[in-house]
Amino acid sequence: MNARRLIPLIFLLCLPHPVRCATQMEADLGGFMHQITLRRDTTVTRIRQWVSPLQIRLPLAGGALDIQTALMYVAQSGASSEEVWGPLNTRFAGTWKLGRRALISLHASLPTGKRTLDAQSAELLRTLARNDLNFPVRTFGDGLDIGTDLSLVRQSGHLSLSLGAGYTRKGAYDPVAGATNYKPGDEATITVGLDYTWRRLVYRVSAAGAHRLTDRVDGLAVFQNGKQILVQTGVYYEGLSLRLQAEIVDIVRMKNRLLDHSLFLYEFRDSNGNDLRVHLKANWSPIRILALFAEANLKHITANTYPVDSPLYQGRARIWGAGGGMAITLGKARLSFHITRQDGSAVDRTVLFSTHNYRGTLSLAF
Amino acid sequence: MKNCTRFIRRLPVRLTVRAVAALLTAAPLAGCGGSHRLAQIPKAQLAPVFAVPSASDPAKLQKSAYAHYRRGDYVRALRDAYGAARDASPDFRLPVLIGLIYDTGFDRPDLAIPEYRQFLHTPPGGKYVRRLQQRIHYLHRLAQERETTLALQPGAPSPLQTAPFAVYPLQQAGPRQPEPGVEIGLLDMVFHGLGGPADTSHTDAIRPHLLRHAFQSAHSDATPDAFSRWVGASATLTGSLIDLGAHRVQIVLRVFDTEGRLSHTGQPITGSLSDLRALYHALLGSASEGLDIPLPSPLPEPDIPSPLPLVLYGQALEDYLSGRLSDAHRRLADAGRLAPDSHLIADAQERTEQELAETSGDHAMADVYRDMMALPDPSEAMERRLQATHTLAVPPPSALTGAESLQPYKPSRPEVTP
Repeated sequence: MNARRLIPLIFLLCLPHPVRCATQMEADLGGFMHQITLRRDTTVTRIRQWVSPLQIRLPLAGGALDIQTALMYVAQSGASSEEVWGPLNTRFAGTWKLGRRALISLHASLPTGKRTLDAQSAELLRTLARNDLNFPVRTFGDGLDIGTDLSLVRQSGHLSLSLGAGYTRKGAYDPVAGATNYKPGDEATITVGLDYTWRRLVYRVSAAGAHRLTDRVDGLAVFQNGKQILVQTGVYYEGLSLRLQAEIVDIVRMKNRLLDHSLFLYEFRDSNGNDLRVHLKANWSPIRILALFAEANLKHITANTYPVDSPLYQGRARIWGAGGGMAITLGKARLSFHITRQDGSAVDRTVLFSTHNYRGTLSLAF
Repeated sequence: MKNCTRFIRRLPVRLTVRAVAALLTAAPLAGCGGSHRLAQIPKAQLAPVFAVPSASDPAKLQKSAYAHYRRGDYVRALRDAYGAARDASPDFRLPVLIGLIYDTGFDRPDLAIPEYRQFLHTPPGGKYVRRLQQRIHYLHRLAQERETTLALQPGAPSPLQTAPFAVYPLQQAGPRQPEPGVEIGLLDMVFHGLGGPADTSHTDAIRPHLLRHAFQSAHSDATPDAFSRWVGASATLTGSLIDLGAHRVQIVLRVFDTEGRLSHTGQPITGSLSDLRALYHALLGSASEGLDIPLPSPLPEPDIPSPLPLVLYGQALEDYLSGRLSDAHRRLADAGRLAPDSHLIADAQERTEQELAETSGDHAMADVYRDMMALPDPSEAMERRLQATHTLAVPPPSALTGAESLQPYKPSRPEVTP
């Protein structure tokens, strides 16, 4: 495109239009690259994850319907090489307000993602799924999942109190070659939350409890994930041009249940580590079309309760990092860039790693 | 500026945005903004009051309105407040500010009440709603006093034209001085027993007494017939009371029509205050006959069952009407202890307590508004909380955010532990 055509286009884009509006269609197109370099003794392994997501938001019956999908490419280099790529599941999520005090959502995840992985690809995906390595996307997707969630709120003076409940029915799928008709357990979630707002400051406490039913293979119960409790607390400042956020999240996971010698029992020790996450974020918009943001985060994963010499032992891990970015709004278009650098250690510091995350998104309103 | 303030104080109608615009145009014609005291006026107030507000942002206009209010510049305060009210979704506290300007700036309780009431429909609730309800009660009383004062002006319409009947205290007859309070206490019980108040609110129950008191204060030679002509109710119930001694009384009820003519004189009723139930039922019967109002069936029990609390109630009512709130409150507290089930005493006690609390309330209301500014916009706060809860239950896919999801991923576990 030459400059003569570009100038009127930029002029048109600069005309003021509200980007966020429930009555118009919006699209987000972008991509990110997440690279992690792992060092164990003298062995260096590098894994790169490329993801290109697409989201379309449509106004629907007074609410909004989001359609989200993505392509992912993962490559490992170093001691061994492996790569895998394919589409992720496609998610449909509709959200509607019921009056002023309730929000209902219906969501479905269609199994368009790559499945029935071969042994090497499955091994690479298992690395991606590790909680201590912090990959943004950890699977190509599961089966056909359908769920709903209802949230209610009550306001009194400075206090806002909310209560939510959700249920997701998980569909069967074939996660790896040879393991067919694997049906993950359905998931029920209850959330409660309290906001105390004083002028532009919001103090928040939220909690979510998740209960997962049993995973089955060909109808046989094989595993049940432990109950999970998430507690989130934070302070938020919402100024006209400056927004600050400081948030702490603690995630506690309890014992799993396993099929052991024909008996479906709770595991002897809790094999799940717990998460403690701290997240700081600042967003400053000096002029209407420009926003600058910076963030820092820390994640600590505790070791599980198995002894160090046990094959089920999972050591503690810690990840910390910082990043920043900017967003430019030109008329109905919004372009944002984000860079994050993280360092960390896993398995009781026997593995050291560093990550880089580069992200860009173009949002358009029609 | 004070002239402008007086000008608005005298206005008989509620101001609208257009009315304020017209008022600001007409104010100089009414002698507002005279230059004789220009030197005393702060520089910030010398800007033309009729100019379009410099700020267009509703939040800034509202802030400016409050700043003008704090400086005592109520006209500019009202102008900016109405400017802010033009916004499509004005701040939920704006009606309180407008009410505050009318209430404590212009002494217009009648205009402040609807503004304060608007806030009661918003969901922040809690102590602010209770505080405003208390203020509204108090303002109702002030508004009624204002209406009464206006009604006493020559040529003003009759204040109780639509009421079925009004009451005027029993006149003393005979050589003995009856216990003060009996004459109004008995009649007030009859008034309520026959459904005199238009509804059960405090303010309507007290209004006929306020009117009667204002009339008696304005006319030292006030008579029941003159009162009935002025008040304009279909009928006015009054009568005479003779103290026979030993708690015995003789009462003759009389009814005057709207022209001040005596339309009914009841049979003399002789009874004892010690047997208040029988006396009350006899009075109800006579009043029902005179007013041509059917007797309620079954006959209601006297709300105040014994003479001492009745006397205290009647005296407290007079104290209240004369503005002696502390005395009224003390007497009602005593009466309440003697007749704990009486609704009349309980209502009067609540009304008096609220007004006592409000007597020094002008500055407190400004503090209430200032405190309210720390409140979140309820719609925004609810939306924010709903989104937070919803995001926790259904986190956005991390493929979109490029960051780790809040919920740890649960990997598949198809293998069976050996």
